[in-house]
Amino acid sequence: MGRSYGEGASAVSCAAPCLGFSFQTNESVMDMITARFPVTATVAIGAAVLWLLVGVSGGLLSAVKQGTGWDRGAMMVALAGISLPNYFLALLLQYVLVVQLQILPFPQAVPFAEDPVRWFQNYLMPWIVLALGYASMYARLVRANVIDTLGENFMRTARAKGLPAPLILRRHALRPALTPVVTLFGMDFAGLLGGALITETVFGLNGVGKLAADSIAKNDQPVIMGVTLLAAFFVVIGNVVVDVVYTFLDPRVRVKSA
Amino acid sequence: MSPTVTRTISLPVPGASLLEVDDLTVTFPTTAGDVDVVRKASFAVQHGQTLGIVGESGSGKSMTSLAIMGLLPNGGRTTGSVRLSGHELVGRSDREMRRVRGDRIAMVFQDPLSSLNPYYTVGLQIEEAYRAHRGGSRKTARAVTIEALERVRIADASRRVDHYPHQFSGGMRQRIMIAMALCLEPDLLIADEPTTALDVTVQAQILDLLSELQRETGTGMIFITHDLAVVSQVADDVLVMRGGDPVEMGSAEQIFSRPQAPYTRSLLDALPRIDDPFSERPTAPATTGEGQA
Repeated sequence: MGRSYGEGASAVSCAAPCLGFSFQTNESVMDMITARFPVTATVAIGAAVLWLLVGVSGGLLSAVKQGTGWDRGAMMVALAGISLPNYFLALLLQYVLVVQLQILPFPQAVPFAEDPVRWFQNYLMPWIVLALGYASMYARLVRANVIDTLGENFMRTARAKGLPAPLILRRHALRPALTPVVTLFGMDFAGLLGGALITETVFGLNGVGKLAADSIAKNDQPVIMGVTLLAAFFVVIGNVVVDVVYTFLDPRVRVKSA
Repeated sequence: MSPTVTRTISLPVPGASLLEVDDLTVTFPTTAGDVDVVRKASFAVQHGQTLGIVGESGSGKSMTSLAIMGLLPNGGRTTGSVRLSGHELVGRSDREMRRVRGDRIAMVFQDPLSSLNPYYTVGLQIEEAYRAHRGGSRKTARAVTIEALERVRIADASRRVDHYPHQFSGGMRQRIMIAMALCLEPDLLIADEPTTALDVTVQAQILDLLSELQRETGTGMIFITHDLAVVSQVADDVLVMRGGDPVEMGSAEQIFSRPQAPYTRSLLDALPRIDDPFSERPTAPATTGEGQA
């Protein structure tokens, strides 16, 4: 709700979703967040696309080729991916790709419209760093789910019906195995929209996460509260969306109409 | 799939039984070496007849049926001979066996809830079986599906076809499994403990339904169970198995009135009798093969 601070001529009004003003700059916290949110959203969306692609396909391949060299290798990488802290991986990537191999230019914020290639190069490392941990987690989850599903009795029924193997896998194994991934994805993605604190800070991306880190360092409490509220908002929204989507994916939780 | 393969399996060899199994052995590799879970089982099933396979848990009953279908879990090997209408099934490729499964030999399993995929309507799960073998439009498959559901006496079949497995009771789910198995009019139906998960009243209904459908269609049946009372109701012939070994094979009449093998006798003696409630039940001698299966 809108509020106003002070009295008389020095009164300051604060428009509807009012989060107060920064102690440091006197800027409206809402404006600070809206200005930085596109960067955070770009980081989150890019990373999400990457980790879904890599995590789900990696997990599927591992499950289908269970016990082979590929499976073991992929799961080793996944273990490393879960274990490596983001700040370490970020610095390592910067050192190797930018300083040593010079494949990528030094990160520099460029608007997409100005130079799309440079924009892409700038976001590539944060995407990879953020995605690796999630991709590892998803690959392990998908692998375990698919292997579980392959052992279900209804898979035996599907084979006993004489269905072709690709149809069995596509229809009977994938849907039960991937439904839980949707739940997890909704929550993870929503969490990221609240700001990737470490990754944004290490790569100097001016997003909500960096705003949080900076304001914590300066004890700028209205900003800290605003950023926290934003993160909480997305987590709640994410949960609601997941619950609604789930009723479409799993007929057992659908509300009975008859 | 070349048409010739389908034809060689589908045209019966004159004079052959519906199913002839000779010296069927199922082997699984373990870290301690190969283990035979079924050893040299031999039996035959005629058109319209029912063979009951009885035995305790781990006696190899289910493995025998999965071996016939070519559906052994990972690593399982089949040796011996399984002939359907005179055509050898052992050693056929998975592609060839896929044509046989569902179409020529269908199966009904023990737990109907976990045997149906919870994510799809029962209609779709029957339709897909039909379409995998006969092709055709969804419309045709749906009509066949509704007819199959009506045959197993699902009331209001044209509406129930769009319901999910969890919306049915246990007995109805097993009817749906039977409808799924019989929609392609297979020559042989393998029922693997189809009534074990059901209560006694529903069990009786399912047994009646199975024998009625069998009379109508002339399907041969293998009925696997550990319940001697059930076997005595449905089977023409009985094979008793124990620890992977076939113990005794004979007509139901002979097995129940003049059992030859000591194990069969002790199984029958272990049945409680309504006219003699107080005498002590003999215990079957300890099993040797239990842990191997």
